[in-house]
Amino acid sequence: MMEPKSIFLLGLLLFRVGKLMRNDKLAWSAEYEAKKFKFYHNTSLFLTLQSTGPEMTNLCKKSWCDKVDDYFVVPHHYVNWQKPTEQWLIHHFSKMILHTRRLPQQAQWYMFAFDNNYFFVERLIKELSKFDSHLPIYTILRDFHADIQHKPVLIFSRSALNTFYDLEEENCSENAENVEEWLTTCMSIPPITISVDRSKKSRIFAIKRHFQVDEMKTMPNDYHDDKDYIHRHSSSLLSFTNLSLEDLKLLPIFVEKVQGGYKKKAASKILF
Amino acid sequence: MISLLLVFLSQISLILGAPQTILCLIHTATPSHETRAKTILETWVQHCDDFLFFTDSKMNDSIPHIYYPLLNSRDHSWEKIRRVFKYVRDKITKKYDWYYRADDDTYALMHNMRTLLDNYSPTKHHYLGLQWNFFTPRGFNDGSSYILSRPTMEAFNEVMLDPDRCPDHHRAEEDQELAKCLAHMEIYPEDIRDEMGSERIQHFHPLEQLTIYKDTFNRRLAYYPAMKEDENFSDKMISFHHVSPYEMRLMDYIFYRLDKP
Repeated sequence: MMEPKSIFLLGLLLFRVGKLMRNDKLAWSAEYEAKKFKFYHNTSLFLTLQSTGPEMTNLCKKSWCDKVDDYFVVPHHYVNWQKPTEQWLIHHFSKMILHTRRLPQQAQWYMFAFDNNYFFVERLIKELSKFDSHLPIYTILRDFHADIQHKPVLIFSRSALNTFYDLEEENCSENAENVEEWLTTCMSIPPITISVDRSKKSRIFAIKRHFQVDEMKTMPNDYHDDKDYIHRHSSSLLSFTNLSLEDLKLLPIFVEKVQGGYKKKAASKILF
Repeated sequence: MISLLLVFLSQISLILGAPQTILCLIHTATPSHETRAKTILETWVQHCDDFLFFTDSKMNDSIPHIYYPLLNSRDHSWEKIRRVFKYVRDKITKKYDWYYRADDDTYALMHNMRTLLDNYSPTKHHYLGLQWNFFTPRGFNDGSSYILSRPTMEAFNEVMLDPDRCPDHHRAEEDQELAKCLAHMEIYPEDIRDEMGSERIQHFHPLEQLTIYKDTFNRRLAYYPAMKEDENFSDKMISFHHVSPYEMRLMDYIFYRLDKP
């Protein structure tokens, strides 16, 4: 028969061990964001967001991230601060995807993105709802009109995620040239395409030049306003990507707050 | 009798319901003809009823413009705007309800301007813009973007004839001089902030506007206190200032092409 004092100490020890096991530091082999994950049912979209810095991530959280069903933020100190290569992206996306096995949720779709994005979440969910999440479906979102390197966004159905878990060890060599090649080989099926509209305009808009004071000084010679590039993008945009901090400060205001207008007939010339 | 009354009422309703017309006057200069002016021409100015660039050298004949080769520096602004409004009154046959003057680094949302102007009678004196609290007792509207009703434009032309009340001298700050002249006609800036107290017209770049409430100059000289961060942007913004042609294109895409779900 144990003494009450021993029982108390044992109980305290068990409590502390239990707390330690729930500690986020053990789960991801590093730190989690301090966020509790709730069990939910019939959830559409779960986001794993790679932070590149607290300011960027907070701006995402205040705007579009709030519209997904739930999200998890990977801390920013796991990001290679040099310009990420495709090989680094492959390796990091692999870790992000595999990590979802540890999360207690049952979403229909899983998105993996960096925090330099601004998504039109309602439109994205509407697009995804056209597909059966019980099928192994995945997509890679990139702006194929952009001639700049930028990070893609990956979206998997629940079924595709399970396929990735199963095939990851056998098929998913990280020696591919790019994310597209890596995933197509890994999954043994090609991705679906939702990143272009019927007019072949891109629904992903990679921002090449950023909002800044004195923007004209960034192009002192042969300045142009990039009209052609901008007009190559769809009106039914899914996201802006490759955003700077300044872009993320202004885009929510322009998109969500300020009321836009509609095309009016062209102004006539003044008759003298 | 009844039919006459019905015809009369229908005519009244036509007059009252007729959309207000706006002539846009854009200040540019030779170095900006192929950049700023070109972008404005292809974007927001198309939403004006008519427009006229005023500059210091000839533009393409297809672009409505007037130019003053001898008034080719910023310090000539006051002389230029006097001549522009005189030209508008004397040489342009069409009568507009409103006259909107803008810089060539301004991006305007004309549909929001029309919504604002629906609250004002174009037959009365109105002088609308972003108000500063210095130079004249009741302040002046920022030169980047301001709106005059037709009677105000006429009053300006009238007071210009009086060199004591509205002298023609060499000065860059045409916005201040305009306010001083209009004050002699008892026309003063009006409060056009929205119901939340946010300005509809901005002077500084949008990024600077996010923190302008901290700026010493603005705190001291703005007529109304600036709101903080995104509250500083009205949902019915009329114009942004200090934006580049690229930023104008991107904003034009966001405001006029992008379907917002």
